[in-house]
Amino acid sequence: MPETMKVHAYRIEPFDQHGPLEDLLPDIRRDNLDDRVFLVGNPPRDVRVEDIRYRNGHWFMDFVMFRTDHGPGRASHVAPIEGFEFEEGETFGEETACMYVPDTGHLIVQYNHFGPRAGTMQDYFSSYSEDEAYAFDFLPRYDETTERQFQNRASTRKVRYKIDTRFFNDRDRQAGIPLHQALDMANQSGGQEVEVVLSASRSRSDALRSRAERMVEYLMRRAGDESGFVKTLKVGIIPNVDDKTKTLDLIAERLQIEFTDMRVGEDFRFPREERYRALTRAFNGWRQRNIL
Amino acid sequence: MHLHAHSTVGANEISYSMRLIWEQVYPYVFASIAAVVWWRVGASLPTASVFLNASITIGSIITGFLSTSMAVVMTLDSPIMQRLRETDYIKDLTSFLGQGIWLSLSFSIWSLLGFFLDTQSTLFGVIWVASSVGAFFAFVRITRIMLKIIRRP
Repeated sequence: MPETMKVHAYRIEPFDQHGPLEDLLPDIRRDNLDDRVFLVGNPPRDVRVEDIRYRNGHWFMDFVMFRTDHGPGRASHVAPIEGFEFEEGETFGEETACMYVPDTGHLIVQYNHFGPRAGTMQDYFSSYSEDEAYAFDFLPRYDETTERQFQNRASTRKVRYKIDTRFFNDRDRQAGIPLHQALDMANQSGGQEVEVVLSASRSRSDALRSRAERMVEYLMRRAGDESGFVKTLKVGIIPNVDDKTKTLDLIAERLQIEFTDMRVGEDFRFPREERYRALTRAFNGWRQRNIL
Repeated sequence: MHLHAHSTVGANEISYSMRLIWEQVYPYVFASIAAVVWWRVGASLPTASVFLNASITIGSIITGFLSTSMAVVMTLDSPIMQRLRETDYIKDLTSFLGQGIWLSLSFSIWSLLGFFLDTQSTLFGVIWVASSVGAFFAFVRITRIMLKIIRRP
């Protein structure tokens, strides 16, 4: 029976003066499986790159996250559900495949609810090498209309965002936020969430100042790391001068494709090659329509 | 649209990475400035020997206080401390605590050496000023941070 699999797209930007991802990937390929395991993400989990290969100018990678929480059991209609038997050191592994295109810096990522998400992969790549400093930003790509309207907007009139202010993380530190300021951020709100609305005045010619624009940029990349820090991000823009204000939801309108013809194997997993193929199809489709 | 992680450097704006660096170096910056000013002005330390006693006392109190704080802070288990430990910020916290302790200890030791060396010499004075200002700001830095940590349990 066909099952569904979602695919998202990101653009990867090396942070500041750091090296590009394609410099790091051959190092990962060279390492042994157990050397590739790192504790990353929030909450921290062991993650590793299970499979990595270079084909036709694209890097294909399959991530595995070692689950430590409540997992599935073995079930059938005629018998009660029971657990699996594991050897010492074994646990459930959740797989997430991705494809990196060095030419354009795009990362096409499978969505697995239980597997490593974009933020975890970002942390993984950024902390992989002890010697070289690598740091990456994962910028989510939006659907065609949203991307076009946002890029070509005449002005920004309103930003509405909701953030979970108790969070500060390594990304903040890499962005250069000093410790005392990170603590201020954590202390500032009584509740767990803060909702902020910035709007320009009623005059049509008024627009939000550049600080608000930079706030939007910052929140977009934090929304991309899927850490749950940015819960809502809606921007009211004027697409072209004389247009009416349009609201873009920069969380929901992410570029996404859903494959409905995936088939699980006998072990109830999508075969790796199937997943790689889906990523290629997604990328080629977007490429053809000039979305990426 | 090209996205940058921090704001561009402008008249009234400092990029975020500079703020992080500033937090890490400002005690030494102020210590250097104070030392240079002291040297330029050609000032010299008070001659009374009890002056060295006072210096040693202040340095020791600060050293003792910070060492005790280190023990207390490390056992704190509030959500903020847990979050700190999950990030690289914990390195900053322990580093600032360590720098506070070493700088104030060095200040005490240098003052103690004043009983053997010539406290009126330029060299002694400059190093005394540098270590006292450095220790002071290192102490301010870590105390500010610890107050923020305990503010919300």
